[in-house]
Amino acid sequence: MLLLVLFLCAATSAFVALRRRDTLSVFLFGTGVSTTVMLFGVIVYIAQMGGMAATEQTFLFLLPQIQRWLQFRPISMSQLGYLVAVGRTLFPWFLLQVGLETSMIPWVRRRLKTIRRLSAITPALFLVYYFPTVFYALVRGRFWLLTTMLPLSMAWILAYLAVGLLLMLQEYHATTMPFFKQVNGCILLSAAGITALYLLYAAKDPAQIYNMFMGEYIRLGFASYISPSMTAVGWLILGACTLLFVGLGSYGMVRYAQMDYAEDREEVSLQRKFDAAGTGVSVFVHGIKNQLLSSRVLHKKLSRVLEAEEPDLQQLRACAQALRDLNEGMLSRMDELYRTVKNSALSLAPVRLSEVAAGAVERFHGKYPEVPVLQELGSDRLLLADSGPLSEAVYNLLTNGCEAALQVGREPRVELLVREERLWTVLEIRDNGGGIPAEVQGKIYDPFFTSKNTNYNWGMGLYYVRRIVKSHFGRLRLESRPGEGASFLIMLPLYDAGRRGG
Amino acid sequence: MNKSRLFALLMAAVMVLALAACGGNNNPPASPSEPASPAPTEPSSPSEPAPAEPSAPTYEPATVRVAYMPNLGSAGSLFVGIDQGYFEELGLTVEVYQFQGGPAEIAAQASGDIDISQIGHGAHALCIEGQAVIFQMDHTTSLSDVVVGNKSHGINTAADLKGKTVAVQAGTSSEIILQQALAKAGLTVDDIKTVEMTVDGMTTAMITGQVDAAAAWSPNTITLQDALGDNYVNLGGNADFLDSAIFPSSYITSKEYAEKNRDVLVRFAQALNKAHDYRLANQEYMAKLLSKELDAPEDTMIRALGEADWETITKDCGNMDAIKTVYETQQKIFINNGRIPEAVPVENYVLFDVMKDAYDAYSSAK
Repeated sequence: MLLLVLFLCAATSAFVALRRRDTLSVFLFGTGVSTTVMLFGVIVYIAQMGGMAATEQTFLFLLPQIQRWLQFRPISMSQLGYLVAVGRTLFPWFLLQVGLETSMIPWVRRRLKTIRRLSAITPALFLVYYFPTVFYALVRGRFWLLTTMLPLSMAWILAYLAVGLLLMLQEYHATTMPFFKQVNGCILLSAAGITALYLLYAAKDPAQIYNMFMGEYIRLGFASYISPSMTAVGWLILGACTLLFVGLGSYGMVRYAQMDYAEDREEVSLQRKFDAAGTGVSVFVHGIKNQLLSSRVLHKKLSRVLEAEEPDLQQLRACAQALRDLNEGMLSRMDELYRTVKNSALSLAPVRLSEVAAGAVERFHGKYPEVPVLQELGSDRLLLADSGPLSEAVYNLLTNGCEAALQVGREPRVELLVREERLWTVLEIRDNGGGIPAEVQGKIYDPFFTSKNTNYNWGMGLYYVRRIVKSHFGRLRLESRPGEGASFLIMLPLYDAGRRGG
Repeated sequence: MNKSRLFALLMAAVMVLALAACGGNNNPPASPSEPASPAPTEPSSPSEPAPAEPSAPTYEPATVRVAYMPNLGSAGSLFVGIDQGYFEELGLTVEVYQFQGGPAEIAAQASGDIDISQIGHGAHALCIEGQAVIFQMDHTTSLSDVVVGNKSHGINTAADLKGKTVAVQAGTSSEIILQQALAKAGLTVDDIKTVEMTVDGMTTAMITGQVDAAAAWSPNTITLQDALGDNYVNLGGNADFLDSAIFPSSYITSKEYAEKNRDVLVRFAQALNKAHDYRLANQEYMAKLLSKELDAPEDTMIRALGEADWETITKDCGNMDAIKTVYETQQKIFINNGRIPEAVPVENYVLFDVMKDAYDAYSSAK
């Protein structure tokens, strides 16, 4: 059974690495693979050496035929032992890297590369120590090394595991935003599950597999990988725990991989939709046609007024004003559309959060001067941003929120909340509209998607906002409360003004 | 997001269900410790158990965990004793555990996972070193170990092993035979390239040509004979060194277990004495029984019947002087090849008193 578990563990790790293709998933992949390598070596060793009870045989191999097949594999004990040693040595290092990569503690982030390099020294030394020929040459005649190196190896292994897991736990606790908490929770769950699996056999010395100093190992009382004395109930509990750990670990990994993958897929899908552009052209033509028709009506009205002997100047002025408004409206929407589709490059520079917020609120009041914006600026961090487009994006969201409340006949209450979340800066735009139904949530970022009157809206707002946020290396998330309103969260990475070189 | 969560949940659920299905396997592999098979149909021997008498002594029930290796020499008396009910009639329930080498058995015994082990010659060195004590000899000499060479790799004699790759399992009897064979050809282990492998692994390695020679033992040597055909060459076996050496096999236990369970050991050895007699008289039955218990081809097991001296132990089991001589002779081999630095009194690691009491109990019950 454990063999199958290992296969699934490795498959899950590979799945995560392939989906996410980021540094963290590579380290998570490393933890899965190193555990798999270690346990696979142990299983083959037990298959070859024997000494297991029927329940252990089922736990390890599921079928006796599998054990017999492994028993006859012509693998040298040196290869097998070193395989176990490599897996056992690399797992704690990978786990520590997961912890470091997850951690947002500024001290850790600033020294990440150095810590990473330094942490590789001990595992590297132990990999050299366990190399069969080196091990034989070192230990032969110096058996005190056996009793010294095993506790030493356990000490650093446990220290690495503890630090790695603590970093993840600390990050989990320090995070307050549901989305980030969820991500960190998945990583922690996955790491804890794999660690529990790893610890099943990590305390034993892999060098015993070499069979070089068997007498010494017995004399010194080292624990053997073969332990037939465990009762059937013991194996049952162990089996259940293994299932639980791997289940949790795999669930965590898959959830983690899915989170960003879903976003990436959305991105690809949006691009494809926009490229197709058919819908867009049709909406564009429809919108323009409606406005030109309005223009024709005004022109006809204007002609009728002018045909009179004494044209009514008041009517003339009203028509001219309406035509001017229509023209301005068309121009501004054209500008909006052009701005959305053109490949504009952003110019990122350090800006204050308050500056971005003020810009957005000013624009909003240009359109809805009577609607107050409740601002709660919990931070005035520096951001690396292009102030104009970012303010425009926030303005778009404020406008959407206000219109969503008007649509359901409520007095608009629009809020702009700014806060810090670990190494992220979050701008939350909250409204008291009707919320966004679940079935629509997947489409709201589509270009040309709108729930408003298409004569006056191109449906490009949220597509544009998302593009701007992505261009700032940020994320845009929606939290909808059906019937009560919605919140859009712009999450931007922290700009560390004190950090140099990148 | 909802879809992704659903997908993740599904993945995890499928995984857990798959694993739960594995855990719920209702057909666990047959254990050798399952109830003994019915008595053989072969003609009964004079030593067949007599019907229970009303005055039969009662024993305190005990369960012993016994390690063995899957060959006739190691498992013969144990499985005959179980099958014939010899242990049961002395109040002993035997749980058996299969190992691929004596040192691994002793390691498990040292950690308290095993109570009694059957070991071949090579692992006796660990007893001399004080890692375990012998309480019953199983046979006076094994004839199962053979250094097998592959003629197609240019090996026809032990001298041809120079520079060649030889698979060996450290601490086993076959390693000693390899050392003896090399010494006879004027070579040492340093003249060859050894690869540490289990006997089953080396069998596959020999057949696939990954190694040039292997220090193996029966019944794997028979498998090799069949697989290699004309390329099979015997470079040395136990029989070639019997003029100066002897390769006994024994039942051993830990010192702690011996101190606390002397009575159990006497009863166990008594049952073995009886099994030795039955084994000698019913060799084909033993081969067929083991073929079934070890899931090995019957023909192979029958052909392996010559792998040990089954007879001498039945004659000398009460002669403690003769037993002592066997162990002393054996110890000299270890001293000569440097495995043991200096002589150790045999009494330090052989429980002659247990052996004697068991023999007396068996003789009086006959």
